[in-house]
Amino acid sequence: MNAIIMILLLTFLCSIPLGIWCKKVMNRDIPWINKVEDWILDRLKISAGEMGWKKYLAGIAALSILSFVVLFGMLIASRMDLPMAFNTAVSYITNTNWQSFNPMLEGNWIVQILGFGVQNFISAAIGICVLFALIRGLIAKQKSSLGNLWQDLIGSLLFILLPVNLVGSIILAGQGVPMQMQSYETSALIEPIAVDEKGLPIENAQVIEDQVFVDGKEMKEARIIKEQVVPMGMMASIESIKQSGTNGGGLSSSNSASPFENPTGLSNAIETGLILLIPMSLCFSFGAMVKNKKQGLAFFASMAILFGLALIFILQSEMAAASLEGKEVRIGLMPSALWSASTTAASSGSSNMAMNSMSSIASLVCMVFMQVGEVIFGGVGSGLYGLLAFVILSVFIAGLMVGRTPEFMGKKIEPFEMKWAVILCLVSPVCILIGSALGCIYAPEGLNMGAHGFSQILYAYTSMGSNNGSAMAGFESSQTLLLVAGGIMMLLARFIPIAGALAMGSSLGSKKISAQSTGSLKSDTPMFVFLLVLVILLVGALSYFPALSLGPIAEFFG
Amino acid sequence: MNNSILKRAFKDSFLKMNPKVQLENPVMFLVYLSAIAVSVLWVLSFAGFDPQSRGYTFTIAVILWLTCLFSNFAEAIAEGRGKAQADTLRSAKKEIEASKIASIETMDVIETISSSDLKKGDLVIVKAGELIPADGDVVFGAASVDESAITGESAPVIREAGGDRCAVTGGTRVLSDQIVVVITATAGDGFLDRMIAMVEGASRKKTPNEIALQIFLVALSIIFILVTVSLYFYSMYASERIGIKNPATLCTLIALLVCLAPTTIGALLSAIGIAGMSRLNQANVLAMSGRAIEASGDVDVLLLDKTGTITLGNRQAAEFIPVGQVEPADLVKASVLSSLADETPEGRSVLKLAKEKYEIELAAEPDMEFIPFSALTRMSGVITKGKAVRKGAADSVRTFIERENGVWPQECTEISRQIAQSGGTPLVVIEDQRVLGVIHLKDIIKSGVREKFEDMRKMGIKTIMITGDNPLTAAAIAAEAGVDDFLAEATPEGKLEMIKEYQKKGHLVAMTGDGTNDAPALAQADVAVAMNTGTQAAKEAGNMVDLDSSPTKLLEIVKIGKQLLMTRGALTTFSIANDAAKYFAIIPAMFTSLYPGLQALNIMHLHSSETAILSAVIYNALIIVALIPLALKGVKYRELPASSLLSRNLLVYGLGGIIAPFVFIKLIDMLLVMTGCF
Repeated sequence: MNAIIMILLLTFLCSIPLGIWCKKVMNRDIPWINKVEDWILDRLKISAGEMGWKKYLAGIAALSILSFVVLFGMLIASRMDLPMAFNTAVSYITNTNWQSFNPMLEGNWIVQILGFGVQNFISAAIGICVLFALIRGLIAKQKSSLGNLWQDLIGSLLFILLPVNLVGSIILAGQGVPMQMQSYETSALIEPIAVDEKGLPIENAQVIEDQVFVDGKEMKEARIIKEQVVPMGMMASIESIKQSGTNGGGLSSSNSASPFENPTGLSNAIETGLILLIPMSLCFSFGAMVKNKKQGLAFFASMAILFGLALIFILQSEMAAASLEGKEVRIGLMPSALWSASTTAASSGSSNMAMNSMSSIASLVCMVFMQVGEVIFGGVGSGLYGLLAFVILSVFIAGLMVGRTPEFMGKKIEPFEMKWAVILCLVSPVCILIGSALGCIYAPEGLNMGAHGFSQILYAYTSMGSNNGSAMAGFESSQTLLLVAGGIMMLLARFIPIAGALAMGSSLGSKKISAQSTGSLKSDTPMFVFLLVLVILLVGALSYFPALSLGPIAEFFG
Repeated sequence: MNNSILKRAFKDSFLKMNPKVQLENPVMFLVYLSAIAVSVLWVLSFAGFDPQSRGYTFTIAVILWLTCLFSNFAEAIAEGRGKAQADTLRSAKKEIEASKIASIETMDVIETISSSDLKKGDLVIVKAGELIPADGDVVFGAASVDESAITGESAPVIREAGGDRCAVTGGTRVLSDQIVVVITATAGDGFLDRMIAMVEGASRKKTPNEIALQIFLVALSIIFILVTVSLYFYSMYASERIGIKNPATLCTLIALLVCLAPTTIGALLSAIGIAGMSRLNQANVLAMSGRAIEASGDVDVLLLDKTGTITLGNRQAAEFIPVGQVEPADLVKASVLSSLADETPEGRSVLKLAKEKYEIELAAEPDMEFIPFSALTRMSGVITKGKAVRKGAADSVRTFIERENGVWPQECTEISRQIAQSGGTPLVVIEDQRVLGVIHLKDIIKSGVREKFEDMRKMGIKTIMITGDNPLTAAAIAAEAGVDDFLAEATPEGKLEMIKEYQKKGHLVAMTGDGTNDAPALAQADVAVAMNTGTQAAKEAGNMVDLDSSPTKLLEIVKIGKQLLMTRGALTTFSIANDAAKYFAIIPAMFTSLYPGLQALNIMHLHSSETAILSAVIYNALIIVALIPLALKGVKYRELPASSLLSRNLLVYGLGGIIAPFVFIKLIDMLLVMTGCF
């Protein structure tokens, strides 16, 4: 318990100065950084002029398409089949990192670094850029341009993500996470094991002198494995951005439960903190940008309250179940529970335990974290701009109740903003509901029996439809439908909200700021925090109550 | 709300079943389609499709149709009052014969044409007893006009050529004299026509706020369509694995969809808007658009005319101040004498003060010779017993005394200055050439305005006093009335500048005006209320017309605007909060056959799955009817800061919206069980 509090407290304390720093970088407050940015743009012959929302979006689209083509090409070149390569490439460019493939068997360190690693950085940076573009709209005085994407991108990559991860990966490497040019090492097994033709271990098999016996009968088709392949490569650097960029895709299939990705208690604590660090700090950047610290704190508080409540549920339920199935014993119950809460809240999707073994209430909470649209801390940048869409919905309803047409930070919320705010909030539920219905019609093989089987389907589509990437593994996840539909969902769930955030930012920016008085609704008060929390829960609950009652709730009540 | 309105609303609610009308309101259109779908299911049950639940399907279909009807009824009844008002107005709008003339000089040559053939710029002559054929400006003559057809006010008003009282409205009647009117609006485009269209709601367009809310409601509906569709497949998957029939039947899913969709606010949304407009009409204010009403809720700067809004129209005597050795009683007596024939409210107030404070009461005597007020001397008084007592403005009295070689005491100048500084007006009383003293005429602040402005400030609304007084006087009155700011020696340009200044700082400004020279300021203001007595130009520049021409109307307009928005927000909150209970009613009812453990979610302990679903659907329909009065009247309005309004309304409509359906669904369930059918 103390460890959990310490991790959260330290992350919180680090996030405040980091948030201020992010604001300074993105707001071009630091002259030497501006010089570097301008120098790079000048060399690349890219204009540093202001961009309207469509141009900004086009830039992101172009960058993402390029990213997709490069990564897809790399994956095809390393002999991944088409649906899998599509799903994987999409998953990395959308900051989801849903991994249907086995990262230990596919790809090499070149793909890892130049493919996955680069995308881990770029997708996270795009989230930060979009968030700041939206904030600029909120504070602009009758100006519809949102800044320069390329400037923002350089700023967030070189001066936010790079320094954070330089520190992160050095500490992790110090803790023993591998950092080397070879992709694999092999080591002898203590005892050879037998596998069938699919590569799955055979139960109750005895290996005696290169022959396999099951219940006394010899199995001719069985293969005997004497060595294991240990994934290595540039793990420490990938590990850090995997966590801090809320990406989640690791280099071993057991992700951070593996002793190489996550060797010590300290590494576990740091990796947990890294998940939440940037999403937390961006709340404070918001406060600094709008010159109202209370506003940033209010957003942080809304997220923290929801996170805290959920964490209590998870901890309580996991402790009550006291099941060590699927957990890494050296990490323990509580740190695993904290990690699971953080990874689903903050759109990371990395894991240090088997999500499939979670107690029903814990899995319910994790799903709700994702289903509310990854706004409780959420993805880097994307969490906060998602939350801002919820803020606009809350302001709209609450604003009416105080007898004024709704406004947020002095900007009137009119049909245009409302349209994009609901689209932003709706994409994820639409994807998840349609996806999971498809999943029910064409259920993949290997699902558990009973309500848990449905939970697995729901979890899979929830994870992809909210750009999370974690999974309740244990079933056939290479089903083509899951790969293709999931890929499309990830694209929609990522880029429609980005378009929405930019469109809202531009439209809000072009409005004049109305004067604030005691008659205006304050969005930085405890009352508003309470309202925001309610709206998030209500929208989540209303959209998913039926689905959850057939999944984890039915599991719980039996 | 009389019988004929109810009767008409009842009829209209069936007429509104036309799909074209239903399509206007997407949420209710969804219910409409659902009702059709369930009816089709019922018909299919005779063809062998799921016949065992025929009664249940039929009941659901009936309730869904009723839900649609209730929504139509809400809208129809909101329109009812306006339609009744429009009918009265229409009776004033008759085809009449107009006496067209070529020019004022040739007034005797009259060409009789139909009022509908009149064109802009035509001159018509209207005599006593005739109706004015169309909107226009008086260009010659003056007449008293009965405008009760439009304003409901029976006292006639004077309309005369030139100045700010030249506008006449078609359909009003000239009572005396005759006037020549130049027509400013062609038939069908007059004030009366616009007024009919407005009160009837025919030209009602959805306001941006309504559109934004509708986007939100449509989005919620889309989610719930997906929720119910996907639920069918979830349930299919689960039931196939267990090997039972899919418990999520089409009929139940449609019932669930209707319950979840924000039907309460969807059904009442247009009624709320129409009722807001109607409340404004009842306050005798005519808004030219629904948008103007909403803007009045947003207004945070009010430009208020001093006279009539902040002060009573007239100054009143407050004090008698003797000069030098003059006995106070002598001054009072002289003041009373000088005011005996003074019929102005100021004069009356002198007598009143003397009687109340000094118990001095004098009556006019036959030998008194009264000196009437003249614009030249600016004094009035009386000559009695050989002495002339006069009173008048300080500077005119001084001129008079100095001309008559009397002595003007320096003390008198000082007293007058002090009075002016405190916001009052000094009247100097003299007997022959001797100055007796000064009457302090005071602007009397209306009772309660200070508190009213205090409330306004709490709500974040700034009040600004507009006055023609000099800055000293204005400052004193402003301080006494408790306004936030004032504009002294106000000119139309000054007002316009002030409005622009505030708008630049992000404020929304409301003002009233009547004269032509107010038109630019009215056009600039966000909410501009033109007095009906005002000029055509002012009326056209404003976005509201106050038929009573009352300067305090602005405060009421703000209230109506805020109340409209609050009602909209409160009912939206209520509608969405209701869904929680509906889930708890329907989900366990649907799925206990799949997972018996889900019975734990049946926290209302509803009797059976059928009664549970029926209760939810019935509640959903009845709550619309139950909330019609609230939609029409508007939620209770309080002058409180936004934060307290929010917490109050959240508590009542948010928490209330969560709890109420639990209680009522349970009650309906119990009633259903009592009928014995289940």
